[in-house]
Amino acid sequence: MDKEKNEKHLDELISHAINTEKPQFDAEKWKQKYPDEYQTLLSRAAKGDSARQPGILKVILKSPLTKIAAAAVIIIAVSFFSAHQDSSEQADTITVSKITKSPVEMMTAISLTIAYRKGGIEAVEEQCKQAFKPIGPRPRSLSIEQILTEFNGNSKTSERTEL
Amino acid sequence: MKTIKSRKITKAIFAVLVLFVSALSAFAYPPDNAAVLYYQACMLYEVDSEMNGMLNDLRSGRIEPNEEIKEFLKKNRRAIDFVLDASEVRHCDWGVDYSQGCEALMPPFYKFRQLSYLIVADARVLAKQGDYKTALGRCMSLYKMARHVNERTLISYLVGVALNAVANDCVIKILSDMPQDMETLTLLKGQLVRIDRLPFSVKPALRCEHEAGIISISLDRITDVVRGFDDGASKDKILERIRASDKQFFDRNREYWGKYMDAVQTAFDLPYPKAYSKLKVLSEKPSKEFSKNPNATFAAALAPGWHAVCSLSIRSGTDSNAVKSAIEIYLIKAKTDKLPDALPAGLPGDLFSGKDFEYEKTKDGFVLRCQSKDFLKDKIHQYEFKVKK
Amino acid sequence: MVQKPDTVLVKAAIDGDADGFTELCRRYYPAMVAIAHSVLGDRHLAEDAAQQVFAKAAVKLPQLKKENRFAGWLAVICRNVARDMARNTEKLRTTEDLSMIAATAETDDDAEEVRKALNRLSAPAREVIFLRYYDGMSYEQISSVLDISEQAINGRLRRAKKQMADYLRRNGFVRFDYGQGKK
Repeated sequence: MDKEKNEKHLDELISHAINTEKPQFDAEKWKQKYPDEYQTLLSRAAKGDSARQPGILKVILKSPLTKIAAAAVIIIAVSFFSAHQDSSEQADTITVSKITKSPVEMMTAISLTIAYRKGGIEAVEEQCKQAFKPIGPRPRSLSIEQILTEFNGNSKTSERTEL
Repeated sequence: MKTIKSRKITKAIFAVLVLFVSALSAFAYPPDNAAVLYYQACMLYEVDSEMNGMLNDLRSGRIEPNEEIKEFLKKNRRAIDFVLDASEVRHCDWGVDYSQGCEALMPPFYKFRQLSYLIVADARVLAKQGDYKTALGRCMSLYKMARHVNERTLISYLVGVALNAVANDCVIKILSDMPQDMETLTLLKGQLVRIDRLPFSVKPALRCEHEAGIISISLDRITDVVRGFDDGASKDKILERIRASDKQFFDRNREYWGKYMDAVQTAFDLPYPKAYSKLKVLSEKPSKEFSKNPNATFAAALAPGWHAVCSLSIRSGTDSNAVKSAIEIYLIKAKTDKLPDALPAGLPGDLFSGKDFEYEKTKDGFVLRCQSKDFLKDKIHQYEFKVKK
Repeated sequence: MVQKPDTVLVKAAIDGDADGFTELCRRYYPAMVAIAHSVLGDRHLAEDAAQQVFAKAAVKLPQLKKENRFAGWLAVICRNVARDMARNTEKLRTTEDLSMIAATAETDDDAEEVRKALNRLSAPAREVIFLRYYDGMSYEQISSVLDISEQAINGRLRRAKKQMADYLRRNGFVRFDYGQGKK
């Protein structure tokens, strides 16, 4: 009986804390706020047939000639954008670095202490996790053989051939 | 002839011995730095949030060890072994570059508590199987790990406190489940005495914060420190002050920080009630002075809630004292087959009040209760110990 | 009046039926606000984020391969929008001004303590709490939005509530002993 009371009490506390008044979607306001997206939606009706055309990739891959043409376009586009990248990306980098923390910044003593202040040990752990995310997960299995293959090119070679 | 021959044999034996010892040291395990092993354990151990949640439920007594957990322990045996081996190595150097001040890079703390839950799970399974000595040995490893993690910085101390709490909880759980066996209890008592010899105090962290602040309050470092804050308005104000600063600005801020930290360190030595109220005032002082006193700029940014640190530190010590006192009571039970009617004299006490714990026998065992409250949590802590019938 | 199933509305929306699309928005708006709120910690921002989600959905809907995965697909967009918004506004769940930096677990009002308890949950756990309490969604509905089984939802909810209760109890909610059966 106490358990049920406690359960109910916790439910009430949570409901009170997170303002569970049901939000109402105002379609008219949304249409006014996002007119372009709304028009995109409507434009699909004007096409008549189903707007779900076969993916452009499928169309390209059907014909060898279109495959080559598409590849050429991609190569040219990539070269163009990488040449163009330097000046614009630098500005973006400066902007981003002002707002987001790098993994290194997240792992400094002061940064972790601030995290602790805000959310205790859980916040510290969460921040560390975020910092290590770019490294990615450890490979499921990494055998000695794989490591040796990487270093020596052939894990079965037991002796060095060059001295 | 015979002498020459015997000399040759002696030389040969000596040479073989030298080679043998060299070979041994080349393959010596464990290494002389525990951090190397902890890092390996961190690299090997991966746990998803579901399983971590289950291990946490086990740690807090909400569930009992189940097949899924046992299977998980089997899969992660190597990580467990690395942690256990690491805990036995005396020296632990995480390679932190303290010359970087507040920007010193820290070890991957998020893995340590996860690993501690793994070790607790191992201990609980062992206890369930009746191997209480080995189970308690796992708890000793956790205590040592907590002391290894607490290298110097404040954040590492706080993580160490969290790990110490995990170890304490595990010991309490095992004590409550095991029969009152003189040999095991005496062994545990001895192990805890050895643990006590390993340094685990907040004082080095306070000194480190003092030094780190002095290092970091300089033009070439401080913008990186300030970037660590999420609060845009305060950050802007600090950057504005730095841009408008003169040469003495940093000197005055360092002086303010130095005096401030001296006051903090002195306050920590006071009895808890006085320490807490003094540190609360000190914690708020720089931020209150921030808008009017430019010398308090960096202190306002750097100073954590010292009263909270004090409470956590006192709580950690009190938890450990409760465990040690409980062991003495269990020993009496083991000797006389009944719990004492009153708390035996000379036991470690409640650091919140500076007095002995209040002792009360209950239906299931006994309770040790603090005589003064934890002002941070606004509660009086108590520790429940069960006696297995 | 019998509600049209999602799959019918999604097909219609792909074909440019604005009514079908706005009906989907009405249905899933509370859930998207709940998910965004769990990331952003701010109701108003969460509503902005949810509206942005539907803007993206209006454009990307033809890319949805399976109509019956609409809710889950929308939730993925919502999380990404909320996270981007969080990064850009430097707000992630809660902010503190400088005067609060020195303070830690002061005795705030109940709601503030509960919000702190919520903030300590992992993102998936918090999401489930918000969905359950925000919109009173059934396990079946939450399951379709989060794309996980009802059992997994039950487990997450149970653990999240226990974690919150433990935190609240540790922080002086002495009148509250969730699961202990004691006062």
